[in-house]
Amino acid sequence: MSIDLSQFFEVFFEESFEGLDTMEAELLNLEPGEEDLETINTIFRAAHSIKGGSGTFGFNSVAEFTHVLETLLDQIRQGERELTTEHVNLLLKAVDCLRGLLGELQAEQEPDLSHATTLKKQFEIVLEMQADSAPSEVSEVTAAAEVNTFQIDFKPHHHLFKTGNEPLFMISELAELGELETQAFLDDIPDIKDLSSDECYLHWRFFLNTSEKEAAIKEVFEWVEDDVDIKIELCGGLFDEDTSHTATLMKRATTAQLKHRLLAMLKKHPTNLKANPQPIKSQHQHQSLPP
Amino acid sequence: MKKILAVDDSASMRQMVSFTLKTAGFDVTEAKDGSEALAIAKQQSFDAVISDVNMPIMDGITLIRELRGLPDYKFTPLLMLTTESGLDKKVEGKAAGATGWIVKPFNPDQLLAVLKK
Repeated sequence: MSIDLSQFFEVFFEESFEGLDTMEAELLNLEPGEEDLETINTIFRAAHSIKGGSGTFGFNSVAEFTHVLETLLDQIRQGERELTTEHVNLLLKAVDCLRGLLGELQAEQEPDLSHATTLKKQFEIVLEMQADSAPSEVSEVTAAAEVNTFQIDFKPHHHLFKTGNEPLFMISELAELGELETQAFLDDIPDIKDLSSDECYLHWRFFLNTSEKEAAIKEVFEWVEDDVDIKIELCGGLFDEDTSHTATLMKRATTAQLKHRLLAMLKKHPTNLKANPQPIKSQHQHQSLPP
Repeated sequence: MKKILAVDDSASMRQMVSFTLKTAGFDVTEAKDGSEALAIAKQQSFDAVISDVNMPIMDGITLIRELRGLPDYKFTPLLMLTTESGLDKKVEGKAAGATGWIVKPFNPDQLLAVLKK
């Protein structure tokens, strides 16, 4: 499904300008050495929201710029870096800059990124400087038994078939890794008079629920690296907790794998199974998007 | 119709999540911070809760911890919204009882893909 995100833009701009006003007011109140944690947190949250929203709604230049502010503020609020007057000044300049950028975007103009680029470099210099305390040990998140959801955008180049490769095999292999949901895109199929029967015009978006790592997904497409466009994004996942919900999901993932193996077995040795197996429903859900 | 509680201090995010889920057939209630969410959750029962982590008054992780303490929400899917750079929050979330997480920024399809589980 495609949702028009522009309906949310105006609210995003309004709340972002409010956030910038808050940031500015709180920054002007700050006395390095006497700052209180709640003020820092408020400034951080404002930057965090602007970064999150701009990323979500596609304003990537804003998201990238705000990222350095957020990183600096995060270090300060975690106690990893002490706030200095230089930081406050830099942040105030950044707030001004963001106001300009968001204003241009709101007016549907091409934003002028020159000032932001300069400021971003200054932030990066600050961040590269030795922090005051070693960053707190981040305990390794054991992803061992977590089930992740990946979004995989797969676009074979037109000539893929001529390399002897078949997307269907790759899709089957992907499906072996877990639960696969498929969306096929037909928009690249040319007019019938231009259609060549040995070219690949389809591209797909998959959502894969798997306890495997991203490396396992990349492996599926190893041989065709140069002949396809692949984008893999981690969307989220479930913790391996002993909740009935997660247990059901884990069972489903294993069942999907079992069914595939069963199907493969059946194809190879149809007489090996004594009882009549239940008809196997495909775990794939094919949704064709309108051209 | 399944009922979802969406919690985020950003109005535009709430609207986006709300719209996406409503379009997909869910009944959505919004809250702008953990404290409001907890109050709402005690008055009505929800099939799932999606919450941002960084919020004023009560943050997402505390909210999840509080919800897990309520008998009605012992087994309810509770999802946290995290950012790429905040993945270490996952550990805290897991300890608080979160069912899973969704990475911000996300597009509407990704939200639905994780939620479907």
